[in-house]
Amino acid sequence: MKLWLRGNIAAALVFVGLIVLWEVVCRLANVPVWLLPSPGQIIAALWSSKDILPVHIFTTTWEVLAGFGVAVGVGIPLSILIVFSDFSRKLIYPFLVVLQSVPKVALAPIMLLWIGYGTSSKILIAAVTAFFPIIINTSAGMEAVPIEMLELSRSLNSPPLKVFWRVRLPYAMPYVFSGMKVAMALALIGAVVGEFVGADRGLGYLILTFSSTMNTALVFGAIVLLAILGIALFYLVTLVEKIACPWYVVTNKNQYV
Amino acid sequence: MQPILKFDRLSMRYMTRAGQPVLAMQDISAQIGRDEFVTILGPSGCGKSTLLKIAASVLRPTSGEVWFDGERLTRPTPKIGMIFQQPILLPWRNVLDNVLFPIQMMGLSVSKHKAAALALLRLVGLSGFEQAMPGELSGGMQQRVSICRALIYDPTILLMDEPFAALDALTREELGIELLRIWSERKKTVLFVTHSVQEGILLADRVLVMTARPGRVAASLPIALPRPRTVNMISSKEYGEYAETIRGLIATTPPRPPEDKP
Repeated sequence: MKLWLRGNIAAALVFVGLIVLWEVVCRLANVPVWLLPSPGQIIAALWSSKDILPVHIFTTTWEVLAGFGVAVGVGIPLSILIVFSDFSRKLIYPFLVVLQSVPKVALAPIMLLWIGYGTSSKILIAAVTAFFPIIINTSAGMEAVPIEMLELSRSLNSPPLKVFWRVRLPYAMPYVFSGMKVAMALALIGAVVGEFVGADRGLGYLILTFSSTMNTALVFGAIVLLAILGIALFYLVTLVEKIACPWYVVTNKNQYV
Repeated sequence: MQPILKFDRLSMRYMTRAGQPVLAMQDISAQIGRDEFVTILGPSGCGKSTLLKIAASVLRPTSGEVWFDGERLTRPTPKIGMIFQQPILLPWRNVLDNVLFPIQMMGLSVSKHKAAALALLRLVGLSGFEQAMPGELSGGMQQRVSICRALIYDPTILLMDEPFAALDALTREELGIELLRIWSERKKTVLFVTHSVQEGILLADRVLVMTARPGRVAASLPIALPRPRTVNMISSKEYGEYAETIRGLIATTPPRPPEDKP
């Protein structure tokens, strides 16, 4: 525990040190702000545009969360189909493999073409990007049930739905959550790429607009906001995981003690 | 007396990944009497676990039949309980809810069986641990919980697949004796697979000695040691004779090539 705390403090110190170093180098070398703004200049730029930022932050957050939600809402039922029916597994798998081998960001222009300029196209791009870790992890998790547990359930003449609900799904939960953590990060990438391709709001849109006007300080500002958003969303998933499967968090911790 | 469980010329053949047929067990016939404690002893890979899975009807033999209580067994039944080498408890449920798991899966009233579950936990010495999570228990304690889980729905037969093999030697002896106490208190037919000669003799009314692959029943050896059994009996003359007989049976069975050449 003490070691863990010491590690965290060291990491924080290195982080702060790097930022200070960045600031010092920018000032001493007189780096022009359009090339590399110093941390102070980034914060100042963010502060001066604090009135226009909320709508963009909100837009991107909404796109990521909605895209993530769609990925979960489609991915989990599909994995259930894959695990429970050999027929649907054989039917779905080839499509998954094909879809997986296409870089999802390459689909972004087409999605914009199909469903337009608004947030719904970004939601779809985020969803398609986030979809795979959900489906792969959920199916793997539901297959991870010890065979003896399934034999026991079978010997009790348990209805399949009960086995799914009481055994398979809870066993899969830790897997689902680790898939969700990856998916959340991918959804953020998907949303930003979508905004790059064509949008009139969002943090990705800001990056594009400000870099075309050489407002590098605000480009960095938007990147900082994206990083904060990404971290916040990651911890949101972790928090839900802790509430949904506390037994897993506890057993996991024991391994590190 | 009619046997509660009867194996009738069971054989099991399966394909390896390379497409080679392997004869795992051949022509196994045996009868298990009601309330009898039978251990199945044999070298690893002799199909002991396979036999137990067939007895539970979760695995279908290539040929042969299993008869349970006068009827041909074709699908798994809650009258046959299973205990595995690993406790396989649900990690998100506390001890009490793990014991009650079969009741819930069978669609019976959980509240009506709660008292029975508590009594079983008392029987195996786990009073006070009802609310504990499996991750907080030792391996031996977890296996006690899994024994309770098998007893809660009161099966006629208990199939035990090396249930103490993953435990340390001391816990193993202790749990063996405890199992006998439970068995004498709640009469059950027990079919117990092990590869420990000591465990096989000490627990059993009768030992079925199996040969290496393809598994066959080499001998059916009644154990006449007095009950209740104690660990000290391993120093008795009779125990020594049984152990010698069994070791001899296992050693004299001719070793066979793993693949069954056509």
